[in-house]
Amino acid sequence: MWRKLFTSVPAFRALKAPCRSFKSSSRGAEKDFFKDLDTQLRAFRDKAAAAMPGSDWSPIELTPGLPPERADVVIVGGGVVGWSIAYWLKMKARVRDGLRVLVVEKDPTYSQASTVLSCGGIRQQFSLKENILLSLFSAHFMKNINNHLWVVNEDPVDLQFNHSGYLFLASEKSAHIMEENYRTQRYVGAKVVLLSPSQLKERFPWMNTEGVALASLGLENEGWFTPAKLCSLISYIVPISSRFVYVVHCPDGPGLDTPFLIDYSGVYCRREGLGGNYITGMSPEETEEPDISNLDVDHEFFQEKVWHRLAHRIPAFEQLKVSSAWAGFYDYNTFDQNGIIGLHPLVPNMYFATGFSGHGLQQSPAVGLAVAELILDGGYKTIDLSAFDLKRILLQEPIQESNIV
Amino acid sequence: MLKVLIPTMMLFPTIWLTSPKWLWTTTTAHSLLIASASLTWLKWTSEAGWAFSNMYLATDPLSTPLLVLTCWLLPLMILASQNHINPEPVGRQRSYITLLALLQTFLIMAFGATEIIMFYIMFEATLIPTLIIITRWGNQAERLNAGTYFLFYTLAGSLPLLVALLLLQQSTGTLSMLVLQYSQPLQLSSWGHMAWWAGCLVAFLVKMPLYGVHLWLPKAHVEAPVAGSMVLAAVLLKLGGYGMMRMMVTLDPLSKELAYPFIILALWGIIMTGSICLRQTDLKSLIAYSSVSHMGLVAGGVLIQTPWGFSGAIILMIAHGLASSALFCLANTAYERTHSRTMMLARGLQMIFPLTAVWWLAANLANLALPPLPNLMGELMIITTLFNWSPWTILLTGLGALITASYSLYMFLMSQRGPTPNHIMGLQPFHTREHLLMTLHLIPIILLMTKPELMWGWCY
Repeated sequence: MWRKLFTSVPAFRALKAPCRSFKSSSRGAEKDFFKDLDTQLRAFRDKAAAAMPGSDWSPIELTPGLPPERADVVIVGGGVVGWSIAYWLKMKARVRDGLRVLVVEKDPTYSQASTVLSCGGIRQQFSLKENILLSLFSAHFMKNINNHLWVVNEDPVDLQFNHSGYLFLASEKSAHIMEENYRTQRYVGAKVVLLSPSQLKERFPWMNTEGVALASLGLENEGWFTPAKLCSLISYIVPISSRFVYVVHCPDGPGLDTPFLIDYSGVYCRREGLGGNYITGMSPEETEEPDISNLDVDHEFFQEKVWHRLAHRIPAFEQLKVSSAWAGFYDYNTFDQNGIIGLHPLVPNMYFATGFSGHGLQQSPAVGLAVAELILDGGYKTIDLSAFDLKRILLQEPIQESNIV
Repeated sequence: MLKVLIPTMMLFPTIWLTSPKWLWTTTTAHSLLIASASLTWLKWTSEAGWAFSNMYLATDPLSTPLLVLTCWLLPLMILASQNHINPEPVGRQRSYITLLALLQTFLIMAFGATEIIMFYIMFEATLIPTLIIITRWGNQAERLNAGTYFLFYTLAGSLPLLVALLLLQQSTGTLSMLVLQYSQPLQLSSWGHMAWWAGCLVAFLVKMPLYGVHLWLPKAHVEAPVAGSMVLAAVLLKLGGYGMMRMMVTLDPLSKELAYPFIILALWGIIMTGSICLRQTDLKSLIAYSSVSHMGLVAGGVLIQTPWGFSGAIILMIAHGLASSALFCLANTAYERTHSRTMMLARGLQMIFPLTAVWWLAANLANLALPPLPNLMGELMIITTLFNWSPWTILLTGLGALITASYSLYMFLMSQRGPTPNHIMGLQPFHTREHLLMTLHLIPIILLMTKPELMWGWCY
C-alpha cells in the first residue's frame, strides 16, 4: 500500500530510473538477497495493512483448521440427530461459548448419510405416545424453523414442507390396531382422522380401495420436506440396513392433494415436486435384507415386489416409468425398532441417541432437545423419553410400535 | 526473622533428600512448622516501628500479616497439589515443590525487606518460579500465552520502577525504608517528577491489578495449576498493594492530584469486572475476575492515603487472600473430577458432595463480604474513606458491592444447586485432605474475626 502511494508521485519515477541501472550491476548474490528481503518486507507490509484493529491476524501463524484440543461435549456423527443435539446444546448454553461442542463426522460430504438419503417424511401416526410427541415437537420446530435457524442477512430457511399428510391403509386384520392407535394419537394431540373405504373413495378418487378396511389420515403437521435443505444448515464443521427409494414418473397419477400413502402391504408412495413424479419404495421382509456393503439399487426388487402392489392400490400407476432410484441406510434397531436414548450403563459420561429405524430425520429436533436436557438439566423436561432408555434392552422388555414401516 | 528464613532455606535439602514415599508428608509437615514459627511475628513487642530485625530484614505491622499469610499458604499449596502432581515422576514432583518453596523464600524476603531495592529484586524474582509453574504445569495450550502476558505485563511495569528507585537513591541518598520515612518531602513539580511518580507506582498497579492493566490476571489464574492460582491470588497480588503502601510515603505531595485517575480507574474496574463475572462460563475465570474486583477496592483505599484506607486495604488483602485461595481450591476439586471448568456441566454438586457444599457456601459468603467476616471490615473501611474523599464514590462502591454479591451467589447456585446431571453422579467422593485444606483456609478467616488488631497495620 505504501509502495502504491509512492509510485503514484511522478517525481519518484525519476528516482526509480537510476535505481534500475544500479540493479543491473554485477554483485549477483547480494542482489538476490535484497530482492528476497524486499519481497518479504512487502508481503509483511501488505498483511499489516490488511490487519486493521479488530482483525485477528497474528504474526504467529498457528496451523489453521485444526479441531480444538478440548471440548466439553463431543458428538460422534454429524447427521441430523447429531446436529440437532449440538444446536440445542448451544441454545441452552445461554452465553456464547458457554459450552464447547464438537461434532465429529466421518464423511463431510454426507454422501452416504441417512440424513440426505431419507424420504423426508414426518408423521404423528405412531402407536407409542413418545413417538407421537417427538414428531409433533419436530413438526412445530420445522414449521417455525425461521425462528430458530434464520440468520440475519440471509434468505429465510425454506424446507419445502409439504403439509399433505400421511395416509395409512389397514386391512381387516389390522383395523383394530389402527383404531387403538387413533385413540392414542388423538389423546396426545395429533390431528388424525379415520376414514372408511367410501370416504376414502370420495376424497381420493384415483385410489383402488379394494381390501382396505380402514384408513387414517393426518390432517396437520404431517407431510414431507426436503432433507437436503435441512442438511445444508449443518454448518460444521447401530446395525444398519439399507432401503431403496425409487423415483417414478406417471403423467396421470394422483394430483396435488396426494398424501404420503402407506399401504398395509408395506409399500409406500408420495408425490415429489409438481411434475407428476412420485417417490415410492417398500420395506423388504426380514428374511430378504438387502446387502449393506454398497448403496447399489436393486431394480429387480422394484419389478417383483413393489410395482404390482403399487399398481393394485393406485391403478394409474400401471403405466409408470422409473426415472431414478437411490439407496439409503436405515439405522435399524433390531430389538424393537424404536430409538435408544439415554446414558450408557457402564461408561459414566456417554450418552446415546441412535437406532431410530427410519424416523431419525423426523424426530431429530425433539431428540436433540431431549438429549441436551439430559446433559445440561439432568433429566427430561419437555418430552419424557425415559421409555427409550437402554435398560429396556438389558431387561429384554421391548416397546413395540405397531403398524410400522 | 532468621528463625523462619533459615528453615525455609532448609526446605530445599528436605525436598531433594527425602525418600519418595515420605516426600509429601515431610514437606507438608516442615512447611506447617515454618508457618507456626511465623505466628510468633504476630506478637508485637517492639517500641520502635520495626521488630525482629537484622541488618536487611525486619517486620512491621504492615508486613507482618502478609508474612504470616505467605508462610501459612505454603503447606496449603502443597496439600492442594498432592493429587494432581502424584502421577508424575519423582524428580518432577521435587522440582514442583522446590519452585513453591523458592517462591516462598522470595516472598518472605520481599515482605521482610527494609531496603526498597531488595524488595524490588525479590519482587522481580518471584516472577520466575511463577512463570515456570504456569507454563510447565498448566493444563491447556493457552498457558504459554498466559505466561507471556503475565511476564511481560509485570516486567513492563517494573522496569520504570527500577529507574525511579535509582533516581530516588540519587536524590535522597538512601533507599532504606527505615530512613525514608523520616526524610523531607521532596520538591516535586515538573513533568519529570510526575513521570517519576508514575514510574514508582505503575509496577504495583499492574501487579494489583488495576483495571486497565488487568488482562494478565484472568489468563494466568486460569491456566496455572492449583498451587499457582492459590499463590497468585493470595500473595502475589498483595505484593502490589504492599509495594504501593511502602512507596506512598515518599511520593507526597504529588499524589494529591496524580492519584485521581488511578482511583477512578480502580473504582470503575470494580463494576466492570464484577459485571464480567456475571457472564463468565469458566469457573476459574469467574474467581479471577472477582480478584480483580476486590483488588480494585484495595487500590482505591491505598491511593487515598488515609489511616482508614490503609487499614482497610491490609485487612481486605488478608481476608481476600484466604477467601480467594479457598475458592480456587474448591474449583480445583471440581476440575480434578470432571476435567472441565465449564460451570454448566458441573451443577447440582450439593446432592453428591454435601459437606463440600458447606465449604462452597462459606467461601462464597466470605467473597461477597458477609458480616462479621474480615472481608466486610476491610471493604467497609475502604468505602468509608472513599466516601470521605468524595461522596460520589458511594455510587460506584455500593453498586460494586451489589454486583459482588450477585456473582458470588450466582457461582454458588450454579455449582451447587439445581438438577445434578446424570454424568456426574459417579464422581469420586471428597478426600479428607481436601476437607482439611478447606478448613485450614476458613478457620483463619473466622479466627481473625475475633482479633482484627492483628491486621490493622499502623493504626493498632
